[in-house]
Amino acid sequence: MEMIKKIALRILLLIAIVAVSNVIYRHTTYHADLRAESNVLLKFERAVETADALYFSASPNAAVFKDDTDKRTIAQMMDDLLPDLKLEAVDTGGIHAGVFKKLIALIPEDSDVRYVVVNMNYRSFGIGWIESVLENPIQKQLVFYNNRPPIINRFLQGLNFYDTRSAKEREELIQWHWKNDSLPFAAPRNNVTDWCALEKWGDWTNPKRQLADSYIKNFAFPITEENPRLKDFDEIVSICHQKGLKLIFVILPENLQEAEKLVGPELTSLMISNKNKLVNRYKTNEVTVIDCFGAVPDSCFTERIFPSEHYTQTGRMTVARAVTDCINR
Amino acid sequence: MLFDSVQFLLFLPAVIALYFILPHRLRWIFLLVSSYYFYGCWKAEFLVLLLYSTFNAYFISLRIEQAASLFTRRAWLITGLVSNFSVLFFFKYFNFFIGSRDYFKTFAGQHPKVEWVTQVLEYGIPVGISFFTFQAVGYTLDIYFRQAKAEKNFFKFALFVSYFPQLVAGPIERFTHLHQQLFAKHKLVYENLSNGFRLILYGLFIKMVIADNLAPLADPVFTNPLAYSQTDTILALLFFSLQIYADFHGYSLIAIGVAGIMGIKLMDNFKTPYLAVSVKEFWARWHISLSTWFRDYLYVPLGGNKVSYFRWMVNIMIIFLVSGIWHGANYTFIVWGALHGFMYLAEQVFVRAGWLQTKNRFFTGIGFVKTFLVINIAWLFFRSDTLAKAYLSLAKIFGSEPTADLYYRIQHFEHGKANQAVDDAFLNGKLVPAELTLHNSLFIGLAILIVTELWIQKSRFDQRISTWNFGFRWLVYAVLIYCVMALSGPDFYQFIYFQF
Repeated sequence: MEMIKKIALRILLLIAIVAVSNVIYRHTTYHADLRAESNVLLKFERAVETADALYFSASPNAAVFKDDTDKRTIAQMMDDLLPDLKLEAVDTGGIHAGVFKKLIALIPEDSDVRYVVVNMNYRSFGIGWIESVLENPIQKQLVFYNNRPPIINRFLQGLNFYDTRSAKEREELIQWHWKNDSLPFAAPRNNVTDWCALEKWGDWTNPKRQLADSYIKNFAFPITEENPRLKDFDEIVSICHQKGLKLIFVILPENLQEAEKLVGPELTSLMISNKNKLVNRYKTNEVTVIDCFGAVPDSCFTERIFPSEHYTQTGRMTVARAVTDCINR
Repeated sequence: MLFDSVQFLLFLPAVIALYFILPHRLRWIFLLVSSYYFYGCWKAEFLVLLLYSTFNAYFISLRIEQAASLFTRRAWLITGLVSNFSVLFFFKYFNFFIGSRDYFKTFAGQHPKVEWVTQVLEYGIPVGISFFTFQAVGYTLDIYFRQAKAEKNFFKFALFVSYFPQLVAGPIERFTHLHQQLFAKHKLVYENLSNGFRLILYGLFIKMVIADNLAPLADPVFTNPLAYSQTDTILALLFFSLQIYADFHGYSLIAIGVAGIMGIKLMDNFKTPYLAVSVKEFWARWHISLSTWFRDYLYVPLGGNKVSYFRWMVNIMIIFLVSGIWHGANYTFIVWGALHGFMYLAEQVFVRAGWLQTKNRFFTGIGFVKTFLVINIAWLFFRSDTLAKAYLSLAKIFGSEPTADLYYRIQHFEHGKANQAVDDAFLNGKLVPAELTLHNSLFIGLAILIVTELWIQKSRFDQRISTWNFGFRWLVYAVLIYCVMALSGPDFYQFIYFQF
């Protein structure tokens, strides 16, 4: 009995220490930690205080093309096109629906946010992105995106309470999926590895061959019910539904012209079929899906050595207009 | 399962609670199951190796005990040592001795058996293999030297080899010290509980706050020493020196604390080693369980110091070279061991000649500085991936410009891996200079560590703090708890010694 009393007293002391630590932490290094490890949460916390609409995006929102005269991001363009609505971007490079869902869940009940616009990046459904080496820092950030006292989230981060698979393990997984995930074509186009081995554009030293490979690796995949990204988007739908938020998915433009030129119509047909699956899946769930998949021509893509969703000012305006037209309707 | 993980923080209270709830006769079985679960959390397939090592030591030791003649005893001992060390050799040293694992890849597709070997080697080194192999071999030697009686119950012996707090990174325990404790009837004692949690808290502090914050500072410098200045290279070396101590000592303290809660005393592994005034003293305070293992099972059987002067010097060098190789299959570890060996001998030659018998504080101070410098230079080799990179760091530290010619000659000699950044600098003239960025919060942790080390001296954190009154004690706990929760390194760094 004596021992139980002693232990109980110490447990209470421990709780008090953690509570005081939380207060000290919030007022000292918490924001520095957010800036260093989770800058998107910092953006979110600021945006949610003032915005009517939040725009969740990865790097496609950035405006870095040197020849652009209009340096506005997609979000800034949308905000200018919607004078009655305050729209703020919650964005940073490499993030995806797995991050967006955590942030959307943190939107407070009493906030003014009515619209949630989420970029649906087709490439993010592929295994190359799902198991990217960027995933570890993203998973590390995610620990902070939980509705717990900040000190507990920080402690869990210190305990590495996130997916810490090594780059080697992730690479092995990617290679396994490229070899074993079946594509709806006859051999050798029935999996990514064999498809990539097909001779086209000469040997591996040819930049076009390398780019064609990147297109196959990034865009050729089946989207099954087990796809983690699909589950993330499903969760976003249900969170917005619970919170009574108007949800808009924007299927981002991909460079279909380049894909067809480099690899062939098999790839673009697979991409379009996958995209249609996504449109059909979410249109039935009281979500507005804006399909910009083929809306931007090759000339509006800024990256020439790797497939990406980075657009010139014209491309960004195309996406911005599509979203604002929808909101205005 | 790592000590600094949520998984372990749930596992530990569950194991301790169940351990004391269960009737005494079932406790050791429960500990055995828990230990195998603990190890299996990494890669369950490696449990086979743990089981093999255990069975090997168990079976051979029984044979040694039953053997009638010295010849038979020796024959069984050699069989046991070869069969137990062969697994260690295969996983840890095979690649080193064949030159390069890539060599075997050239056979891919032609010889399925060779391909199988490369696949197994690609699997990586089983966590803690050197630790449990040495513990099992130590037992076999104890039986051979008639220091202990062989355990007849295989499962009881299996618990001795696999006891989870010290399974993957020590302390490497002796059969005579640990085995009886595992089966004794322990009561839940408040003193054990509080001392155990003190050690766990301080262990977590030095691992999570010190080691995990220093690792991202030291790592990039050792990856590409050319990109950093002389000052940054010196700082990185000092940081690594503190990192490895905090990392390994932190693990050992947690292990001792966890076992202590169950009433089991593990041996101390560290006694403020960086305060040593000689290399000999350093080894009496650093990784004590391994040093004493080598002393008892290698140095003494080789004749120790009861041999000729020259033979004694050879014995010392053997111990340090083997200690280097124990850490890993790399020339860097051999050089690390050799440096310690040479310095040890240099000191002892003076001591034996009676030239260093002074207790003068000035000479003690000189001894401290000299020892600290020597140990740090040796760490440089220990930390570098290759001798070639060690050369780059060494050149930087001593302010000379490393040459590409010597770098590539060393790399060729050791079959070292190419490094893209270094190649870019030497071959293409592309060097992106970098510099270390230090955060103020790091110095809070370091200040606490240094003050605590000076205060502890040769004692232990739990022993020193238990003499303080309740209020001061809890003030210290509060500071440590805050540091662990708010200032720990956010990136994933496994305990350094797991790879050994």
